[in-house]
Amino acid sequence: MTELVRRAQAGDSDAFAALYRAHVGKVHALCLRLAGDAHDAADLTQDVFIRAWESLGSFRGESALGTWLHRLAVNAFLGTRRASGRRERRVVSVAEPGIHERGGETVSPGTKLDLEWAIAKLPDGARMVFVLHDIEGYQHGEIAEMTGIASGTSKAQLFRARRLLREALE
Amino acid sequence: MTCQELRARADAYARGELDPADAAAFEAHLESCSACEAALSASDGPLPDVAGLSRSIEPAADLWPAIRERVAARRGRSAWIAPPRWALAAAAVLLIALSSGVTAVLLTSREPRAMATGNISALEAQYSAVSEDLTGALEQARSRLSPETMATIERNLRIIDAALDETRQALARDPANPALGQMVVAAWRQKVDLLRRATALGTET
Repeated sequence: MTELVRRAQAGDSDAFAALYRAHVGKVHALCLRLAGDAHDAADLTQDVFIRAWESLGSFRGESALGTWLHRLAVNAFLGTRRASGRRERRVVSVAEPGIHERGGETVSPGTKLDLEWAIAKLPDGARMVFVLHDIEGYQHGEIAEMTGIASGTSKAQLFRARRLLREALE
Repeated sequence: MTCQELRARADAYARGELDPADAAAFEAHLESCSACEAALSASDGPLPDVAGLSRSIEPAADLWPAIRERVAARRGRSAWIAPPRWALAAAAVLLIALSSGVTAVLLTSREPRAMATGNISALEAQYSAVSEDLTGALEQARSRLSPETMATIERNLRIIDAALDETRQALARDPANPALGQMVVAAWRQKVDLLRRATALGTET
């Protein structure tokens, strides 16, 4: 466990601010793709860090803080989804994200922009599994454990997502 | 459901055309049949372009002030009261948030693929107004950014502007091409996003 985490656990707001700065990009990327909507993603990201502050004392450092925050994000998303019910959403991904942070890349608005839009248009269940499996790298067993769906459902939804994306990008 | 039935119904499952009972049977079969899982993965494996997606996406507006306030309200910690630097940066933050909102509205209203070429001029005018405001804010923040950072920002802005000009010229030659309109708008999005991030950086430093 890092010194920053220990200080934040002790109530040091500056340490928690530093943790926020270090992790907000990855947490927000996950929230944006799960929610498929920029405004919902911003709310979700806030909720994740507020939950993190409130439950940081229970973080024992068995996993990396980033992994723990990702779990919080998935839980927050599922909670929001349960509360609001399923509904169609469309992404309002504000700009092609991070393109200038990777250095040396020139403008390439085609493929990645289309892919982000296509992901946002997936049905909710397929999008969630696709984001967790193909983008975030979780296995079907982990997705089942996190989300409460069966691993067979996760596999089927992943197939569906990949098929729909290919069709959308053709 | 047998393996043969699953593979015959895969297309219908993907299109959401199976009734709930058949869809549930499709999913249940995949729970334990590694051969069918492999077959579906062989026909529809991972998309290669996914590897190029950004793993980190900064929020369009800084969420930290709101988080700090909400936590302070719950815990009553005096340590969470806003330090002066945030008050000093309030105007810039407001502008950044406003520009994010404008960008979001623009993007919500028109999907790039479906955008008519005739709308491009109107969209460009709106992006241009946002861009000018942010450029002014960035100028005010310039003294708080290192010369190296400013040089990087300006270099990237030149790249975007060059791409924008080139694409705009191509669109003028081929105004019925929707892909070119999409590229013009995408370039504007990137310019506004870069300006917003750069201005935010200047207000936090």
